[in-house]
Amino acid sequence: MTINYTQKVLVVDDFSTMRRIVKNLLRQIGFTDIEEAADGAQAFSKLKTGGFGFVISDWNMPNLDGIGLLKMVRDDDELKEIPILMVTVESEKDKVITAIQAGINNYIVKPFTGEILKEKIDIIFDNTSTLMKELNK
Amino acid sequence: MNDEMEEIISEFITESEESLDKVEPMFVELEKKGQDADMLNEIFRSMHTIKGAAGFLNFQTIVDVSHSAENIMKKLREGEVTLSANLMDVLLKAIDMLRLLLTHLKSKDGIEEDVSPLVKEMDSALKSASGVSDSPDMTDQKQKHAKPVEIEELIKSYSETDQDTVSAENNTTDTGQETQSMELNEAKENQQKNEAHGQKLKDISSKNLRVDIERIDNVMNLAGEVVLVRNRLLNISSYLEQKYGSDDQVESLMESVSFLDRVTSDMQLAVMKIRMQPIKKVLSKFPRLVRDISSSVNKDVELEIIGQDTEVDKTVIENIGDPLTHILRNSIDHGIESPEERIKKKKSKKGKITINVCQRGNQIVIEISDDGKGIDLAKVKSKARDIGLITTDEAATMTSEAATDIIFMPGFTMKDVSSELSGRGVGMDVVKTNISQLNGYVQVITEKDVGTTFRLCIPLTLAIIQALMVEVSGIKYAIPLSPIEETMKVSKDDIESVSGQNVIVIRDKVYPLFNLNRLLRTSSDGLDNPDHMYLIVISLGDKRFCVAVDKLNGQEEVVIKNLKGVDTTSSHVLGATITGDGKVVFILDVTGMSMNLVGASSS
Repeated sequence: MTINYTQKVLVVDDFSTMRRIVKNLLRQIGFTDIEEAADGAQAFSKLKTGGFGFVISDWNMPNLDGIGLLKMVRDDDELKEIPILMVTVESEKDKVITAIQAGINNYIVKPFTGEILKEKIDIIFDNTSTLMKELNK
Repeated sequence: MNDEMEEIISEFITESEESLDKVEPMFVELEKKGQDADMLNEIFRSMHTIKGAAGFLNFQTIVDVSHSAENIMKKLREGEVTLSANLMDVLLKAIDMLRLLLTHLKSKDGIEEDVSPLVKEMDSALKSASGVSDSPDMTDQKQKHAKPVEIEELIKSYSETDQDTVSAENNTTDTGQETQSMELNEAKENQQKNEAHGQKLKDISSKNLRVDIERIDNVMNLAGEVVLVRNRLLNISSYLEQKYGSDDQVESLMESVSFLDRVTSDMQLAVMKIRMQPIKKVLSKFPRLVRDISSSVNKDVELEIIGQDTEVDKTVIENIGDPLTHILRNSIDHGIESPEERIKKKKSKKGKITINVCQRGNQIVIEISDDGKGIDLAKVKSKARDIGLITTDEAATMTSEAATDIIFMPGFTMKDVSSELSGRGVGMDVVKTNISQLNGYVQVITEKDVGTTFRLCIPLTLAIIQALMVEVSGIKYAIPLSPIEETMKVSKDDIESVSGQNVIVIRDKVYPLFNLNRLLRTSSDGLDNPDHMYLIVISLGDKRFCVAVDKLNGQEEVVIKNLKGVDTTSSHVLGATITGDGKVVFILDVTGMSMNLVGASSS
């Protein structure tokens, strides 16, 4: 399934340089409509305004962290289907399991290149489309 | 794309430097407190964030150093090791190295640093702090980290089944049920911790806006121009009011000009505030500086900072760091006694230095006080005489205030052999120069064995000031209002002469008197009317003197326009301005003039 590059993406990280870096990589892949949030709480409010295709979020943030955001999204009727890609560091693999249970679609270890990011996004949308196929059977 | 990368790198450098600025004083605090979960967390996050971004930007040396620092911070945060002096030193070294690496990036000098010795040092410091022993830790780690293959399978399995069967799946995976529930609880705990600390660590990025300095300076410049035009309009409209006061249009003009006047004043204040920042930006590096300097001279000194939220203009922030550093060094080197001496004097073993910042009227006052041995003025005078800075006569007749001024003379030093820090005779005069360049002045108050206080007084705004317009030999000048105590009209009979110096007695005090022409060394010599003249009584710190002029033309708010290519120190000219009647007038540097006057101290 070809990915829709016109969909709106939300990048969440409390360090603005990081958001810029990820945004840049997303643009290189082909996304053009990218918004930012500095913590989970901001991210959630933005998502509620609607129209977002997926979310890339860092894990450690003040106010509401990655897993907090994830849980709020999965609990919300409107937003629960939104794919979430978690950005993690090498040594946090044990936290990934917690995240998977809470419902992330995939994880990506930083630092990553544009290629790796594209692969992970492909997997997310592949999985989703597989899931949709399953549900529609 | 390249521009984007350039900007990203530049933003990375700025944000990382700010992050380091924020956490560096925390280290010194931690040394005192021993433990503080919030601070440890802040420092950890700082290293973690820098490492993360540096990884993306391929700055391997920065990654390596911040990674080792992050490891240490993680252990500290989790309470697995305690903050020893050794760990502290190595962490501070890491911060220094990170700053150095960022500086290389900023200047694009392409210099590479070999960070491997530092990294090794950090890793071994951590090892020895954790009591070593690799084995037990390692096996624990191995169990905690699930292998990547397992995780991929997990993800696939979760996406293909629904939530109900998920918990059943949990039990059949390698990681085991206990670890699962432990991790869930850990996640809950972290979430609660994060929410609790979230309030304290509130992200302020939404309240701030990054703006190019040039844009701000441009706005300030335009605001200055508006002030000048407003002055012109006030001038013209008052003339029109006198001549055509009854005309309706003139009345409307008066109203509009009056409104413009008010709005311009408000705008001025608002624009001035844009450039103001809390002085803690500069003061944050001092706890560490004091710690480093005092340990290098084997003294025990504590630093207290009061009023660090006081806001000052950006120029002050940029230029006050050096003078403050010199003064602190001086206090630690010459002021505070060694622990043994202090005990002998029945003082506390720990010396104390206090930096107190507050706003008084339209000035910022910064006081640096130490509880050391004070300045021995007799010694200062004799040393100055030995070096040849003053004559024996001057030493004998000098007041104590004038004597304290000696320490600011270029070339003065108390030491015979320059110590590592001060004593080379270049510290204190730099202080005085820097402060005068900010249109401020320095006062020294000292008492033997009690301590010394350096008081720096700096005006709030640098660009727009109130000035007194004067005239001498037909030429108009503007004199900043702040050093002016009063003005008066005198006749030549009121002037007396003492040892060849003109003086005047005002309310029983004797003030030296100088002709402005002579001060400025202009070609005209005397005053227009030798029988009457106007005196401007100047008070700068402890210096008091009078300047004689022909005319006083009232007060005006002037915008200081800098003059390129003019040496402000030798010409005593701060800048120029355009007055209400459209003429260009020099603004005089009274502080500069006062430095060259002999005998200007109060008696």
